[in-house]
Formats: sequence, structure tokens, C-alpha cells
Amino acid sequence: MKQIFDAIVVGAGPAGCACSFTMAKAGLKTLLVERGKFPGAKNMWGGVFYGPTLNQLFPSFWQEAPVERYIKRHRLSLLTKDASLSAEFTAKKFGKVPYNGFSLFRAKFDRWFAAKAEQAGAILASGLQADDLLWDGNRVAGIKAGGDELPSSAVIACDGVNSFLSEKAGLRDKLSPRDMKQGVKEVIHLPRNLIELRFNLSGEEGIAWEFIGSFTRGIPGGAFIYTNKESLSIGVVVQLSTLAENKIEANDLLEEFKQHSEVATYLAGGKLLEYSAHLIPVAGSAMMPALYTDGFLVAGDAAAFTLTTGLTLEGANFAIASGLAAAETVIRSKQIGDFSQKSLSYYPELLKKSFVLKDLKTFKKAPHFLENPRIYSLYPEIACDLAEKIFTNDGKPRRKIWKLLRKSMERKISFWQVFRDLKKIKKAL
Amino acid sequence: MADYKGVLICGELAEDKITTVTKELTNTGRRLSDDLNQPLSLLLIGQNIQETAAEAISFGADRVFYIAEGLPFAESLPEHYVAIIASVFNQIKPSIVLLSHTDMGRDIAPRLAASLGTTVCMDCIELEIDADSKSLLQTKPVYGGNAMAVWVSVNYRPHVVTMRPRSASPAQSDPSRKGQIVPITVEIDESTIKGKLLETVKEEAKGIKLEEAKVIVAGGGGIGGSEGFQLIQELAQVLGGTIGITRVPCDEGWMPTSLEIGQTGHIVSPDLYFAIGISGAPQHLAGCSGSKCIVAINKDPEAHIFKEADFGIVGDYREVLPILIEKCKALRAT
Amino acid sequence: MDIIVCVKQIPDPEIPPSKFKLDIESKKVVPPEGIPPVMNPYDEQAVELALRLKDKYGGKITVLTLGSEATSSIAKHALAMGADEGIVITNKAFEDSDSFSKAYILSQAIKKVGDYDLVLCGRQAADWDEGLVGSIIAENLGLPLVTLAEAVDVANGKLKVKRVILDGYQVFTVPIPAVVTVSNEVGRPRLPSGWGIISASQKQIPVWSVDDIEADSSKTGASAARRKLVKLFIPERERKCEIIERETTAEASIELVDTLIKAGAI
Ligand SMILES: Cc1cc2nc3c(=O)[nH]c(=O)nc-3n(C[C@H](O)[C@H](O)[C@H](O)COP(=O)(O)OP(=O)(O)OC[C@H]3O[C@@H](n4cnc5c(N)ncnc54)[C@H](O)[C@@H]3O)c2cc1C
Ligand SMILES: Cc1cc2nc3c(=O)[nH]c(=O)nc-3n(C[C@H](O)[C@H](O)[C@H](O)COP(=O)(O)OP(=O)(O)OC[C@H]3O[C@@H](n4cnc5c(N)ncnc54)[C@H](O)[C@@H]3O)c2cc1C
Ligand SMILES: Nc1ncnc2c1ncn2[C@@H]1O[C@H](COP(=O)(O)O)[C@@H](O)[C@H]1O
Repeated sequence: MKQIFDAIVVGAGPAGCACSFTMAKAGLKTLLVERGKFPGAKNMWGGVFYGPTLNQLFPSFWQEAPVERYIKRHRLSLLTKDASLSAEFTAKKFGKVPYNGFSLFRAKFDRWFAAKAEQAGAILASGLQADDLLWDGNRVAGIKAGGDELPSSAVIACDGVNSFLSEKAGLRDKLSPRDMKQGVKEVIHLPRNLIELRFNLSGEEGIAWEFIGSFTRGIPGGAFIYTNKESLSIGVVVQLSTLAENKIEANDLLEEFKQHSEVATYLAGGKLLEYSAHLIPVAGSAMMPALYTDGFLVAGDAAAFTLTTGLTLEGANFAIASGLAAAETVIRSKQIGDFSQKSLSYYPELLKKSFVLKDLKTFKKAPHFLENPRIYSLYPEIACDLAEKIFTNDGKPRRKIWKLLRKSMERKISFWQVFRDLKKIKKAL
Repeated sequence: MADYKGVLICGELAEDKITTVTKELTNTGRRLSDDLNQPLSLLLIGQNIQETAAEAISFGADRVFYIAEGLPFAESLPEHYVAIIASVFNQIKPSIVLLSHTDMGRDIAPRLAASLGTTVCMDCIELEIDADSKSLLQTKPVYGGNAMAVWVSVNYRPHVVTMRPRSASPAQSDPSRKGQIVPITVEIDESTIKGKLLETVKEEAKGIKLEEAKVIVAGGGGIGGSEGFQLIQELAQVLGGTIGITRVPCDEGWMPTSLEIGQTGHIVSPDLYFAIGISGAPQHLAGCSGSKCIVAINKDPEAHIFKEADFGIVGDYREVLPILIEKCKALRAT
Repeated sequence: MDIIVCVKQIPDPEIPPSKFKLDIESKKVVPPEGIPPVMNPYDEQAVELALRLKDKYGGKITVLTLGSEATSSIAKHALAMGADEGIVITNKAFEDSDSFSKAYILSQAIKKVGDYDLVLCGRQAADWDEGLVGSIIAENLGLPLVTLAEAVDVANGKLKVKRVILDGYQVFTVPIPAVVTVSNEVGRPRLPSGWGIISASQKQIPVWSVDDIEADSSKTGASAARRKLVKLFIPERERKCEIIERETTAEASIELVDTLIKAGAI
């Protein structure tokens, strides 16, 4: 039974599945190792899945993959304790093939994706955790798992945010709380027709609704509601370090958010189906680890390929794209029979050409800018206050909006400070 | 179906005396018989038990069958018991056959039901005659005790049922009761019996039996190792009680399995039950939820045990127990 | 020694009670999302017992599971632990079948497997906590039965079975073949090894339908059930816990004794 693999991929998330699918299809002897009882068993997700990358791999994948709804509308709301200000965006093309994004459940989606890799010829070993790397001198020569040594020419670590393997390979240190956000999420059941009524949707349409405001108590972060077929995904994502410093539980913030009058009406009568928590790497390219060493590559969240602009949180498409690049690198290495660091340096070259590193470079400043607490409490307050003044008819003569804004900002913040923040926004986003 | 009448209890003996669980069955059986207005029969399998049989009448049976001869009692196999019960069943055709959910009942009831071609419900905690349909409603814990299921048999008689020990109070003796005592002999075709019982080894528990203890101090996974059980032992001692454990100390080998309390262990109902370093899994509570007063000591305020206890302290048992022991000792001295 | 082990997939029995949910109307348990179902723990111990016998005497272990195709994952788990073959038997009416029809289907499947010296079942399935199927299989196949086993060995061409009782144990001998139901005293089942998982994941799990085992469909499903579930509910808690809170744990402990005295508990 014992065999030597061309490649062992650790982690059957989007990165690992895309990577092992591609290598197996190219005829490489590929082992995909997942510690969960099945792929997706342990994975949580906000989530809007942005489709184009996967569409290249499996054209019209949404016809067979377990997706919930295509995201037709995006809405952003600023919340204060008792007011809200919302903006909504929708585009015709979001409602047409190839669609822009989907809501989906990781437990089902990862399973589907991993089955694709299996069909392509990869061996999927679920319920198996990689415990360590196998070394041949300075070269990674496989993994240790389930008390056995599993040798391979290349190991691709797709083991997610806490990538234990890249630590073991000496490519990075343990992440600090500053480098991570905490996500907590609930799935709440609501009958299909109620969802469509409340969110003004029809058929397979869905909405992605993001929130920032007072409920995070000034902690950088926000909340979301995404519609699934017969449930809502609702959660908050907040900066881990600030959370810890203030001794606040992300859970409590989620509760507070759910009780906000604007939010509660949408959830009324819903039944809690599931609760989960997960970390997200957020420092963007600033915290990116070295990406490869002899016989070893890192992809997906393990390489911190995620993008937070404040309005969106994206990772899965970066995971898939980096998984593909890693696969192509290993396929090339196999062809030339060289898995050394030098040969694997093809990997960052591929990444530079793809959107992965380009996007991350474009938004390099976003993470820092997003730590600015004013975004999460002060600006929503001013905006809501202004809106209230504009819309209130109290029988008195109306004033110019500009004057109202000044009034709203009075004693809160100077125009100069706002100007400086705006300049930063322009640079970061 | 109307041909089947009455209730038959398959009793158990310990040293030729009727056991407490059999008295519990008698209590339940009497109630069901009265509701049906049909007779209650009790079957006892043992040697030289005429007196015990007579006593059984006082606990509420209308008829007591006992096996006088013909059985190698010490080596009797479940197959023997099944054959005997089946033959008594054929004589009197009861509509309900009750057994206790003990080592013996667990083994015999399914075989009996299969051989009689009827159905069976295991580990019931409540039995009731439906007033309208006169059918037997059988309530049993499922999913480790997370839920309760109520079953009725469809067109199959008799209802074979095992009852969880301690789910009813034992019948009280009333010497004025009258009844019939029927000695029977059974012929068993030994050629159909293929196995052999080589030995029965009883690991006599030292001190008080768990089932009879007034106070039980139980320790769980939170005790962390066999040393910790010294404190548990000490507290049990000053309170005049005995020790119990959960599955975790069994699996970890800290304590002997024979002390396990729960669904698959002892079912106890002391006046006072200490649950120390125990999270409160339903499978454990199944064995102790009949206790009069439950005290939980656990360092996790969210532990489920606090939802099932009467009194609780959130704290480390290593801090709490020495003080409890001290204080109780002082009390005893005065 | 050739052994057949019957294994059942059940919702994880060790989920916290707060996650246990019912749908009262359909009288079904709502599977907790994100907590995958598992092999019945007693069945895992039965597989472990079979593997110990195989380690000692050699032979082949076949695992049977009655359910849907999704239950093949537990057959794979048994293969990963070291079993040789896994077979899934599907029956549309599986959920609505009672223990007698399940045992009937499994008995038919056991006949189809053919050669065996021992059939192992768990002492009970930790979902409905019945403890019937193994015994009924023995009755159906006309085989000797020992329940609640902690250990099995071979002596003089017979099986020697140690059976757990509340305050000790018993030792039985039975001729081969026999049915034995297995208790938790067997101890921790082994963890699958890395290569075990890899080789299991490459094995095919054949799926047998009720027709493949020549089962009479009038003996299966809801219409054949000998009893009916009238109600499924979560029992109400009767106790309200008084948490004794004081400045220090020591003070609380002293207070506890006083409270217990006041309550008449000591
Ligand atoms: C609350 C939340 C909301 C999000 N919302 C979005 C969104 O809306 N859109 C979006 O695009 N992205 C979103 N993301 C980010 C996205 O989930 C990740 O970027 C993406 O899943 C990364 O994929 P991956 O394959 O790299 O890692 P993962 O999906 O984390 O997969 C890693 C896998 O490796 C396995 N594993 C780990 N260690 C081992 C080991 N030692 N041995 C074996 N297996 C192991 C794990 O079990 C897991 O299956 C969100 C994340 C969170 C937490
Ligand atoms: C089919 C089946 C049948 C079962 N049958 C039984 C049965 O019959 N009997 C049984 O008991 N179990 C049974 N179990 C197991 C049961 O589900 C639980 O796993 C078990 O009861 C847990 O034991 P525990 O509470 O001692 O341990 P844990 O669940 O590990 O809990 C330990 C507790 O100790 C607390 N703690 C830790 N340290 C300290 C400290 N220093 N001071 C104070 N508190 C501390 C922790 O907060 C925790 O709540 C069964 C399980 C299954 C699946
Ligand atoms: N669906 C099933 N598939 C395979 N084996 C089963 C099934 N149901 C029950 N069994 C076996 O029978 C034992 C007792 O189950 P039960 O009588 O349902 O408590 C289990 O431990 C299994 O070994």
C-alpha cells in the first residue's frame, strides 16, 4: 500500500481543492489530506463567494455546485444606537450569468469541490491531520500524519489561517492577534417565502448586506447578513487584538447587533441552526510569509492571501487562484524533475501575473487605514445625525445641508481631521 | 388480541429474596392491572422459595408462579429463562410482560420478544394505559436521555417491556393480601441450548452499595487523576456515603469501572448526590437524576450540570472539598 | 477467524445538550449543522474487538451498515481502522423500519456474505438506545448469543466470552458461529493510521439494495413496524440551581454546608 506521492496537499479548503484538482488532472500522484471528518466539516464562512476564478476551472459551476443564492444586491448600512443610514447597489449583470457572487455553505461546497479533485484522480484522506513535516536534510520530503510517515516530492500547505505547517517549515512565526480578525457567525432558519418578502428578493436572488457602526463599540470591524435559500448567515468580524485589549467577547457584539431594531425585524421568528467562530488573517501583504522553500509551498489563507477593504471580505477566490498557481508550479517541477527552492520560485512569478498579488498590492494600505476607530463609531454617528437633520420636518425653516453637517460634527471632529481621513481612504482603497 | 389478558412480571431474586427492582415492577404492574381490571401474575425462578413466593402476594401479585424443580439454577443460561417465561406465557397469555432493565432483563427481553414473535420496548421509565384505546403507552429515554419517546405497539401482543430501575417506587408489603401460589415444573429441551456458563464472578463492592447509599459523592473527568479521588473518598466518608464516578475516570483507568453511574452503569437515587468535576452529560444524569438533592461543584459556570442541580458552587474542587470536609468533620464532632 | 461487524451511523451522542434539537411535528431529531454524524461508539468498540481477534488469529473482517449511501463514510472509518471490507445496505424505508425489520435486513445480508465465525454488534445504538438488533439477528439466524461482552477469545474450538454484569462478570462458552453484542468495557477503539485512512479512501464500498439480499419488502419499512412512535419530546427540567456565590470560594464552601443543613440534606 505504501507509496510515494508527487504532491501532498494539506487542507481541503478552496485552496487545497483547486490545487489538488489541477495536479491530479495533470496526472500527478496527489494526496489531499483533510483533518475534518469530511471536507468543510470544520469550516465556517461569511460568505459571498466571488465566482469568476472558479468559473474558469468549471464553466457554469453554479449549475452543479451547491450554491445557495446569487448575490444580486449589495447594501451597506451605518448604524448608531437608534438610527441607520443605508446605501444599496445593484447591477443588471449581477443577476445574469456568469453572476458575480454566491452565498453558499462551506460544509457542502468544500465537499463538492473535494469530490471534483477525487474524480480527477486525487486521493482524498479525510479525518487525517498532518502533525508534522517530514524532512530530508533541508528539504521537505512529506508529512507525518496518523502516526505514519507519508513521503512526497512536494508538500503544499493549504491549511488555513493558523498554518501550522508553514511555521514548521520556518516560513513564518505564529500570528499575533494584530494580524487577525475574529469572525463569529450564526445561521438562522427562516422560511424561504419570508426571506424573499423581507429582503425583497425573488427566485434565486440574494443580498449581501454589510454593516458598520456603534455595535462594535469602536472596535475595527463590522457585521454582515447574507441570504441563503432558507436561512440567513449573520455575523460580526472584528479586530482580534482590540477585542482582547478591551476584554470584549465577539459573541456579545453579535448579540448586540442582532438586537438592533433595524436588524431584529429581519430575524424575527427565525430559528438558530448553527453557531461558529473562526479567525481571518487580515494584515494583507504586510504579513505575507515567505511562500516556498525546498519541496514546500504555501497557498490560500495559510499565505494570508485575503483582502479586506472594509466593505468586502474576500479570501476564497484568492485561495483558489493561489492554489492553481501552486499546482502549476509543482506540475512544472515534476516535468523538469526539480522540486528545489529555485525551481519553485516560479510560484511567486505566477502569482505576480495573476490578480492575487496585484490586488493585494493595490489595497496594501487598507488594513492600516481600517484600524482607524473613527470609521466604526464617529463617522456613522455623524452621518446618521446629518441624515436625521435633513429628513426631520419640525416646522422650522430648513437650513443648508452644509450647515447641518457642521452642526453634526460640532465638538466631535474637525474638518481638518476629516480631510486627512478622506485622503487616507483615497490612498487605501 | 382480546385473548391476551393481564400482566406478567418476571421477577428477580437475590439470595432467594425478591429484589428492590422487582418490587418496583410489582408496583407498576399492580397499577396497570387495576387500570385494565385484569390479574397481576409474578414469576419467580429459583430454588426453595415457597416462602418468598408467599411473601410476593403481600406486595400485590394476584398469582405467583415459581419453578420448583428441573433447572440447574447456578448454571442457568438466558436461554433457560426465556424458555421458562415462554412456557408460563403460553399458560396464561398475558397482554403485558414486564422485566427490569437489569443485566438479566436487558438480555432476556429481546430474545423473548423475538421468540414470541412480538415487539418489545427497552428501558421504559413510564408505563400508562391509554384511557380510550386501552393500549399501553411506553415512555423511554432516547438519545442518551436528551429526549423521551412514547411508543405504542401495533397489533402485536404481548407487550414485552423492560423498566429502568428506580423509575418507580417499590411496592409496600400488605400481609392481608390474598393470592394464589402456583408451583410449576418446566421441561427444557437441553439439546436446543448450545452455550455454557463457566463462571459468575462478583466483585463485591466494599462498604455501602451504590444503590442503597443515602449519600453519594461522585467525581468525573474534572478530578484529573486517581490522586484527586482521595478527596472524594474523604468527603464520602465524613458524610457516611460512598463514591461514584462518570465514564471518564473509567476510560482513563483512574477508578474501577464497577463504580460507574449512568445509562450503562448504576442507577442511583440517594438523598444527596455530589457531582464534582462532572459536566452533566445526559448519559450520566440518566443514572442519578432521581436523587433528592444534587450539588454541583464545577469550575466552569457554563457547565450543563448547573442546569440539573439544586445547589452549586463555581470553583475548583481542590479548593472547595478540603473546606467541605473540614466543616463536616467539625459538625460531626459536635 | 472471519468476523462480520454490524455498524450504525448515528448523530454524535456527545454533543452538548444545548445543541440537541427536535422537530416535534415530524418526531425527528434535527441533525446539528457542522457536527457530522459518527459511528455508534459501541460499534466502534465492536470493530476494535474484531481487530484484536484478527491481530491474534488472522482472518477477514467485513463491516455491514444499513442506511443511506452517505453512511459509507462510517464503513470507510472501519476500513481505516483495519477492517477488510465494508458493505452498505440501503433501504428507502430505513428510517421508518423498526428493530425487527432492521435485524431482518441485516440477517439477510449476513447470509449473503456467507462464511463467518462470529457476528458482532454493539450492545445498543446510542441514538434510540434499544439494544435489540443483535439479539434478533441471533434469533433469526438460529445462532447462540452472548450480550454485553467485554472480551472474546477462542478456546477448544469454541468462543469464550466475558460478559459484563453490574457487579462483576460472567464467562460463557458458545460454539462457532455465534452472535456477540459488545459493551464499552472493551476500551478505547484504535485510531486509524495514516496509511489506513489512505488505503480505505481508495476502496470501493459496494451498495446492496434490499433486492440484492433477497429480502421480502413486506417485512421492512413503516408498514411492517410492530410499534409506532406517538410522541418525541425534550423533558422539562425540574430543578432550579441555586449557585452559592461569596467573595471567596472558601466562604462559598462554608455557606454550602449551612445551606445543605437548612435544606435538610445533611
Ligand atoms: C467569518 C468569515 C467570513 C468570510 N467571508 C468571506 C467572504 O464573504 N468571501 C470570501 O471570499 N472569503 C470570506 N472569508 C475568507 C475565506 O473563508 C478564506 O479566505 C478561505 O476559506 C481560505 O481558503 P483556504 O483553502 O486557504 O483555507 P480554509 O478554508 O481555512 O481551509 C483550510 C483547511 O485545512 C484543514 N487543515 C488545517 N490544518 C490541517 C492539518 N494540520 N491537517 C489536515 N488538514 C488541516 C482545515 O480543516 C480546512 O479544511 C471569510 C472568512 C471568515 C472566517
Ligand atoms: C453511548 C454512551 C453512553 C454513555 N454512558 C455513560 C454512563 O453510563 N455514565 C457516564 O458517566 N457517562 C456515560 N457516557 C459519557 C458521557 O457522554 C460523558 O462523556 C461523560 O459523562 C463525561 O464525564 P465527565 O462529566 O466526568 O467529564 P467531562 O465532560 O470531561 O467534564 C469534566 C468537568 O469537570 C470540570 N472541571 C475540570 N477541572 C475541574 C476542577 N479542578 N474543579 C472543578 N471542576 C472541574 C470541567 O469544567 C467539566 O465540566 C456515555 C457516552 C455515550 C456516547
Ligand atoms: N442500521 C444499522 N446498520 C448496521 N448495524 C446496526 C444498525 N442498527 C443497529 N445495528 C447493530 O445493532 C446494534 C444494536 O442496535 P439497536 O438495537 O438499534 O440498539 C448496534 O450497535 C449495531 O451493531
